[in-house]
Amino acid sequence: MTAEKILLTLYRTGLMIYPSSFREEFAEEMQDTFIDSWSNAANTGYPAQLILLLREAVDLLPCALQARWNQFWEILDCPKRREILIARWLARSVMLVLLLLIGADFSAAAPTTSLEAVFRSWQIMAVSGILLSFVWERLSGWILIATGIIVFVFIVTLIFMLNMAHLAIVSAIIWTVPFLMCGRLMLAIDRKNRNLKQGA
Amino acid sequence: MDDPNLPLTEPTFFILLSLASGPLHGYAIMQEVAEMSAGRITLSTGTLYGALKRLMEQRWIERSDENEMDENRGRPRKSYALTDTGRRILNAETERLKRIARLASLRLTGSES
Repeated sequence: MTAEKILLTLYRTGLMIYPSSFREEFAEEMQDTFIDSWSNAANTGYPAQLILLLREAVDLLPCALQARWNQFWEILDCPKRREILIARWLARSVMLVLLLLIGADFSAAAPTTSLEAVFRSWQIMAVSGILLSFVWERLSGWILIATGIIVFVFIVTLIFMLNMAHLAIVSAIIWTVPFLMCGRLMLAIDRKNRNLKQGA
Repeated sequence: MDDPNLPLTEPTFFILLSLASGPLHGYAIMQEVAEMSAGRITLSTGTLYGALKRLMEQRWIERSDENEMDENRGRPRKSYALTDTGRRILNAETERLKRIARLASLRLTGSES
């Protein structure tokens, strides 16, 4: 992989901080412009390349935050988009609170260190689901649903195969349902958002 | 009475000015701005496209139909052009700057004599 390709990959990853609507409109152009700037700086020498990278790196976060801030006000002006925004943050917040609660419960319930590690990996999956919801809502929805199903299957397996009666089926359902509900909500928000964009 | 949109920030002024002679794509705007400001204003891609988005929303610029073909990438590059409103704002800002420069010249000449 050439240095240019690595840089472009890093740059493309950095662009994920921008709101999706901004990326859809400008990401390709921004990448082209970045690569052209890089090629131009390469003709001048290493200091110019370094300055370019520093400028892009320093400006990335403030510009992305500014774009998000602008988008936030645009959304507030549109009732349908406002509804989606509220539902989106509600799902994320509920998931986060449940994760903290469930996390504490997991630690208490885990009979061995290795099992606690498994529980923690579920938490990591769920956290990934929440983080991904900022970029790919549909993928995050499926991850949360998958996490819920895995949690359920694993707990039921523990109950029946390892005879861990203290992990009742009810617990399995209590731990699973929030994941499934939030995943489903994310998918619904994604669909509603797509419909809104198609209608616009 | 002065236009409420004035004064423009320096990057905005230079971006509009770069489009005064015809449509340009993002990288060309960036180069024009750097050249016109003698390298003083070097826009990052984030700053440039943030500004382009804002200017499009204000309808001071628009996407141009004259998209230059990019031979390396095998697809046209999106270009931007000044709208009539954008040109009016740019003229108003230029007039404002001229007035300030004239006033400054008068004052300086007066103080010298």
